[in-house]
Amino acid sequence: MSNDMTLRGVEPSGEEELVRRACLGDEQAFSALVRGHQNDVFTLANRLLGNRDLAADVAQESFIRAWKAMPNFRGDAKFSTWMHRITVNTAWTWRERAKRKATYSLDDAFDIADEHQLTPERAGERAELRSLIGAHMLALPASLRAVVVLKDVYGWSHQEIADELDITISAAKVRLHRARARLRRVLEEAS
Amino acid sequence: MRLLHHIAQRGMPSLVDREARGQLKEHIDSCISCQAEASRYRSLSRIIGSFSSETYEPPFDLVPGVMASLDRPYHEAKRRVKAGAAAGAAVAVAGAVVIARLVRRRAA
Repeated sequence: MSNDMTLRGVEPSGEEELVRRACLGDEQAFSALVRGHQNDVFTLANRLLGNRDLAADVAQESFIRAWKAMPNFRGDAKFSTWMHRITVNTAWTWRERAKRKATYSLDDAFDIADEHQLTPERAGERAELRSLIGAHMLALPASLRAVVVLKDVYGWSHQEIADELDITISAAKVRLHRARARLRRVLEEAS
Repeated sequence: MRLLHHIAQRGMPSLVDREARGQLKEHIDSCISCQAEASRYRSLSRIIGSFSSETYEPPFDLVPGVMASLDRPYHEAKRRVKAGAAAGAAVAVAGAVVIARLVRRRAA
């Protein structure tokens, strides 16, 4: 389990230049973008799939897809947002493989250990709850997990979720409600 | 309990539409069961939201793996297109030269 919570992001102004150069086929610029966004992309893939090995494969394929699509990137959205969409799309196409390889390892996808700043008691309580919720998020069916991760962890709109998962907005809302209801029951039982 | 059902149907309290919020708050303030329910939703929201600040280290070979995979499908395809275009242009030029010579010979 990695406790490194830092995102080695790229400065926004510098990123624009890197994106511009990468669009023209500059591999070095693209490499810098990959280095800057690899943690973020890997984390998202890991949360969606619940498997570190598959997440690494999905992250790699997402960047390769991004490279191929770079000439079409118009800058309407931030590069990170665009990468998120590609990652979700890639992960979604890999979900069947994820089902077969699912490890449901909490350590892989939801870190609960970084509680150093709290009192031991409080940290213990919080870690326990996060552990429970994290474990149950991983145990959700992929269709529910994807929606709750994208909505509640990444703040996507229902529309964005529906577009990317190729479902209706109503379906996205229903799945979110089901996922939250299940997680709420976990808290209810824990308290 | 109708309002509690309302909360459950809509998900988090923050997602309940504006008109219902005042009415909901009034009810929650006077209902211990709903207070516990709302508290659980707030906790859930906080816990799930807290995952967003965390990112994880991917395998060390992710970047080299990506960069090594870029050349083949993309640049090789581009190179093939460029090579094909160059070969096509060369053939066209050679054809034009031959035709021009034939035309000149006939004219002579």
